[in-house]
Amino acid sequence: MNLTNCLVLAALVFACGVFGLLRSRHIINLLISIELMLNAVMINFIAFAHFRAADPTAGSVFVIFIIALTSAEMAVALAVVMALYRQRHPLDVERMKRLRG
Amino acid sequence: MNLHTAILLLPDALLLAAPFIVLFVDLFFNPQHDARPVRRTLTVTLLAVLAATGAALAWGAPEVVFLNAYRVAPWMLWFKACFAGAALVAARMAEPCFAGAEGQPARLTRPGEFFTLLAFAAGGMSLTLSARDLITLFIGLELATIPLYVLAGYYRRHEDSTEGAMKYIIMGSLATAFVLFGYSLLYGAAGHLQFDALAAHLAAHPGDPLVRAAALFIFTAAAFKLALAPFHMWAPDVYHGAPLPVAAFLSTASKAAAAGFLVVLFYGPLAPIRPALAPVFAILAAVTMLVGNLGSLRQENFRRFMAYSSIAQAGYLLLAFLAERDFAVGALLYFLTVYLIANLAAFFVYALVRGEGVAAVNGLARTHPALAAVLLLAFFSLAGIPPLAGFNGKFWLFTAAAGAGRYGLVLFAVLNAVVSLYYYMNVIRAAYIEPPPVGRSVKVPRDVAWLLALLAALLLGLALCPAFNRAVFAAAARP
Repeated sequence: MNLTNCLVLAALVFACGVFGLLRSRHIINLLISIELMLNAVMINFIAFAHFRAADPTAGSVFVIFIIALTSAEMAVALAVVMALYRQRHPLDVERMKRLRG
Repeated sequence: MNLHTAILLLPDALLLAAPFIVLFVDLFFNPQHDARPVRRTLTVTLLAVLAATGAALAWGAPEVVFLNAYRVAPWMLWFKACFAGAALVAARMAEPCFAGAEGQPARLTRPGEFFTLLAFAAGGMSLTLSARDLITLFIGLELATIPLYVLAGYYRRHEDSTEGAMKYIIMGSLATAFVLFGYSLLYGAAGHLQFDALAAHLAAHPGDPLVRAAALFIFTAAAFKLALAPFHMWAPDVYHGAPLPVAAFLSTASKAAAAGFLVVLFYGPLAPIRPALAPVFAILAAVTMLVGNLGSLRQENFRRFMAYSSIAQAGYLLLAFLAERDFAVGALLYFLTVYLIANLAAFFVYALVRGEGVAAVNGLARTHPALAAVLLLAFFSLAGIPPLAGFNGKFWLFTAAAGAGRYGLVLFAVLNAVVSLYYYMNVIRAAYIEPPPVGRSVKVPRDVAWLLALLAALLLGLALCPAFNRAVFAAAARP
């Protein structure tokens, strides 16, 4: 277990998140993909804090901030998902075409 | 804390206190939950912010650093005044939406929450600009965007609004993930979160690949927030779904905040690698202008039209980042101030006309000549017609690109500005030549009339007033 292993793991998890975001069609899947990307970021921070950083506390504290703030973000996201679900049942991205880019 | 620190920190303190003041007033002094008292509270607080910013700028002090985590410099104060001003105008625009028009139910409910969220977003933007370490920067960015997600979906029972908000949240969270990945790499490279330590690390290792990768991730995220092509797809949908005042706030303050974020990083700790990114800036600027201008040509809906127009304007804005720091920040401040005023005035006229389509202003010159004149000034300024301030804004941006030796890009930008003339003039043509529809009732309250007159006077006056020019570049040049 060294820094390179952790960074490769984080990069893979981040790539999985991006892939999931591009491939999946269900909104909940999209949110899970974003969570995966955020987890990759946290692995990065902890790995750097543990193996390398001159100021390891800062990295660990940053992870706690990420958890707190992104849960606020996800709470808003889920609230909007609920509103969307009440309006039309299938939460399929392919059908979100009332507005086209 | 001495007087100097207190004066420079006062605007931020007021701006961050504003949401709590609004919430408090709504909870305890507003039993009927009317829009007017809450909006007035917000207006008074934001006017205090504007006054405090003006005082701090007039004080002429250099930057102040607070606890090594928070920094206030004159150019930041200028940005903060822009956020407060945009929130003020958007709040006034939103107030009538809470009262049902002609026996219809109100289009928006819960004014207390709405104005609180608006104030939170403005406070978060101000926090972003003043950050001195990555944690503060992250908190500021989130505090600015999370309220905007809620505001974009504020028509809860309206499918367009929820759909737009959903797209905004997915794109915004994606940008957050990218920016955080960039921060983690920066932290790994420097071992600290403070900007000073980052700058020191870059000075010692100028070509660190970790920092270059981080800069790319962070720039991608900022491109999402600025709606630069090819990351612009969310903007028209979000603007279309969001309530009109929120769309106005998104297209002005949010854009200014994203530009400020880029200035904080790329003229701050990451300054040594900005020249390496200059080709990226140049290409994205060109693509964004083209996409925005071509997109605007065929829009019927006013909000989508303004979304593409603001995408094109973001393309011009990116030209500033090709220049050296002092000139770039001055050009950005000038352009953004004028762009904010013109955009807010245009949105306000459409809010008064209560129209969805671009054609809602048909024949406005015959029924309401003063409103049509405001619209004319706003769109002439956005298009960059010489006697108006918008021309000077574009001129400084093009000078910035020319100063960096990118004459081809400047030529391309000028051609794009010519294309944009067509669709801006189309709106003016509708207002001045088309016949007015039957039964359109437009009421202009007295304070709104004064506000619009002020905006129009600024668009005309700022261009003819060299003192404004000097003030902007002086604020930009002071550290």
